[in-house]
Formats: sequence, structure tokens, C-alpha cells
Amino acid sequence: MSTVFKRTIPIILTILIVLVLCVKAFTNEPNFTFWGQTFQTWSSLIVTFATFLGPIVLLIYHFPKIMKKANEPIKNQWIYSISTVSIMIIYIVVGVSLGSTSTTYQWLYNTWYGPVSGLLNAVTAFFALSAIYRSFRVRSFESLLLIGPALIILLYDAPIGVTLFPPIGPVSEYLFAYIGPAAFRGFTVAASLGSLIFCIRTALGWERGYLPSEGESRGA
Amino acid sequence: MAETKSDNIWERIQKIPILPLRLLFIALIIIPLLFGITIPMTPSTPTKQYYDFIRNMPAGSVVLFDSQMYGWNYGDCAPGCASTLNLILNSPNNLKLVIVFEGSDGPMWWATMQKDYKVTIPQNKKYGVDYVQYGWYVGDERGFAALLDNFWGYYPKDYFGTDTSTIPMMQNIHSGKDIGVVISSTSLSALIDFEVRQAYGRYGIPLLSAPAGMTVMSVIPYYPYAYKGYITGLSGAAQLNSLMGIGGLTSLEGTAFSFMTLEAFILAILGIVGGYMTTRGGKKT
Repeated sequence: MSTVFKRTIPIILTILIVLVLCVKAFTNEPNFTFWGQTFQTWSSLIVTFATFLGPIVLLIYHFPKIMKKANEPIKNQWIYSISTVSIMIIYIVVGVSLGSTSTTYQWLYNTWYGPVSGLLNAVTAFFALSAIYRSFRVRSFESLLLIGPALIILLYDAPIGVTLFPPIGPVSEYLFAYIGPAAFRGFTVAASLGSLIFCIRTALGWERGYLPSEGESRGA
Repeated sequence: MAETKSDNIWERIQKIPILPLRLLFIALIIIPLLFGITIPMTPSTPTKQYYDFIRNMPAGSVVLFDSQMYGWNYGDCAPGCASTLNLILNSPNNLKLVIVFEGSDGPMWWATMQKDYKVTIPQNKKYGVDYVQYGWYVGDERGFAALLDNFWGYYPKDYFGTDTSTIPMMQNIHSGKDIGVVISSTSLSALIDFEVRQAYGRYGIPLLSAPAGMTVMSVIPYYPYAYKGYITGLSGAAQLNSLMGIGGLTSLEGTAFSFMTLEAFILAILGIVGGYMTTRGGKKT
């Protein structure tokens, strides 16, 4: 009975849904179109419910650390856990009670979350600067082929680049139009073929990585 | 003697401490913003195509703007969103704009972007008649596919709680068949790919993109077929502003970005030449 619920029924459902979505994609048959759209909507609903799992998982992870005043994985971890949980609760309470369009929530968002979030990305610019300064070295002909176009694109990407050095424009556009796509399209086609094979295997019930193995409980 | 002196110079350059370079980096960003310095910009071909495509769309066409702005990509995505919004709302062909968000933070950042970049909505443009804003569509590709199939079913209300069925502009917009172009602003390759599959592949809707700088390589494979044009991050937005003949924060940021890129370019050249001179192709002199 357990195997039926854990493996057989999910496989049957997967095959059924894949078939409906495939037929919907290639035909205009009204019943398949209706069920295809319904499955898409259900899928979005499932993702919405999954969003609620995030805070629950966060609490399951941090709450024991606060209770035990844990110092793992880093020293004073429990203080950071209090901070994380408190911030999450503040945002949830304000967002749910006053709404995300309320002035208070907007203030919390724009004053705290926005700058901190932007800062995390901005500091990488300084590491990039160090990396450029220290690691751009032509040690071989191959590295010259890599660094040469990189420098051209670097300058092309700055608004002043083409104004200062006009030949950069056509050279960069040639690189973007022919050299870059040639490599990237090959990569995209290869990845797509891989996805297609994965889909076919899933539709045939051969791909079972998403199912628990025999005798194993989900999440164990 | 001269050779030794030359080698010493290169070695000294290699040993310049990073702190002054970082301070220079900060100064190059701050000075244009503080003193309002702007530089002339030459729009790239994809930027011109982006501009021309929007300006030459048939009158009354529907533009679906799919924004994926977060805090970490705001600096690169927001200028493109602001410039595009200015272009669409001021275009003479009376375009209809529908705004949706791939990310949960999108609506918040959209409001911030309008304030930061002083996006002015023309007086003759009215909410519900010329433009509508919806919220976050969950489920990435599945959500996007679902809203293209049945817009009213997926979005029964707009972001502010008004029934879609009562919004005048939405009376003629039911599915992907009613959309003239999809414009995406993102820093994730996945959004580029699934719009190609769902909008261009299933409905034949032409695409435009305002990706972050690091995402432009994901657009390139589909350009100029699915994607008819693109503006690359802050740089592309500044170029688009120059085409529209407007300045503002985007142009200032474009100048700051240019200056800091020039520093990075010079450092890279020094690094390459200095590295070669000190090792002479791998052999330390």
C-alpha cells in the first residue's frame, strides 16, 4: 500500500499530466487546452503554498538554536538567530496586518531591506576591481584570445567607450552578433536536448529521482 | 641601466596597494553624481532597434512589461525600466502598457524606481486606460504560461485590488494573442529563456529586453530573431535616454559607470603589460 502511494500514484499522475500538456502544446483540442491551463494554475497555487514553507523551515532551523543558546555553526549563533527570526516576524506582521502597500511596510522596505540588499551586490564591485587588477595576465595565446575580447566588451559596455574609441562599436557588435551566439547557441541547444530527454524519461516513468526510494520516507 | 629602471617601474606598478585604487574607484563614482557631470553617449545598434521598435509599433498596441527587479539587481535593472517606461508613455503611437512582475519584490521596487528616476507620467495618460499594474505572478515559467493563456483568469484583480473585468483597457486583453510585444527586465537567464519559449514560441509575440549587464549573453542567442532589440543594463538605459533627449539620474549614473569602467580598463591594461614585462612571457627577469 505504501509503495502504491509513494511511487505508483505519483508516476501515473506525472505521466498523465505530461501527456495532457504535450497534447495541449501541439493541438487545439478544447478538453486538453482546458485541462492544460488548469494544471498550470494548480501548479502556481502549489508554488504559492510552498512560499509558506520558507518561514516554517526558517523557524524549525533557528528556534532550537535560540532555546539552546547555540554557538554553532558560528560563535553566538543564537544571537544571529534571534535577529533573523525577529526581522522575519516584524515583516510578516506588518505586511499581513497593514498590507504591502501601506506606508509603514513601504518605509520598512525602502529604509532597511532596499539598501542592505543593494549593498550586498555593490561590494562585489570592489572584489571585481581587485580581480581585474591582479588576474588579467596574458600567459598564453589562448588567454590572449580570452582577454582581448573581454577588454573590448568591457569598454563597449561603458556608455563612453564607443565615443572615445569608435572602432570598438563595430568590433563589439561583430563579437555579439557572431562569435558569442555561436558558442551560446550550441550550449543552449545541448541543454535543450538534455531537457527534452529528461522530459521523455519522466513521461515514460523512467526518471524517478523525484520519488523516495523503496522503504525510504520522504525527507528522511 | 635603462632596462633595469624600466623593469622596476613595472614591478612598482604591480605592487601598488589596492586601497588607493579603491578610493579612486569610489571618487569616480561619486564625482559625476555630486557635480552633475554627463558625457556624450553613442547608442549601440541594439539600443536603436529597441527604440525604433517601440516607436514604430501600430497605434494602440499592447506592451506587456515583465519586470524582475530585486534589491541586488536594482542598480542595473531600474534605469532600464525607468527609461523604457518614459519611452512607452511618451511614444506618439498611444501604446497600452500592462506591467507584471516575475519576483515577489517587484511591485515595491517599481514604486521606488518611479520615485528615484522621477518617471513622469504624461497628463493625458490615465491608469486603467493607458497603463495597468499587476502583482507578482508565481511559478516563474508556469505562471507566465498561465497568464498568457488566460490573463483574466490568472489576474482577477490588479495590484491595487480593482477587478480586471472593470478596467477599461483590459476589455480587449485576454491572452497572448492580444499582446504586441513582451519586454523583460531581468538579471536571470531563466526569464529570458522562458519568455522565448512561452511568448515567442507559442504566440509568436516579438520580444525586447532590458537585461542587467551580466545577463545580456542570455539574450544574444535569440537576437535578432525572437529579441528585436535590447538595452544592456545601466549603460543601455543611458544610451536610450540620449536617444530620447532626456538626462536625469540615469545619465549621471551612466557617466559614473563610464569613469569606473575606464579605471578598470586601465588597470587591466597595466596588469597585462606589467605582468608580461615582469615575467617576459613566463620567465622572470
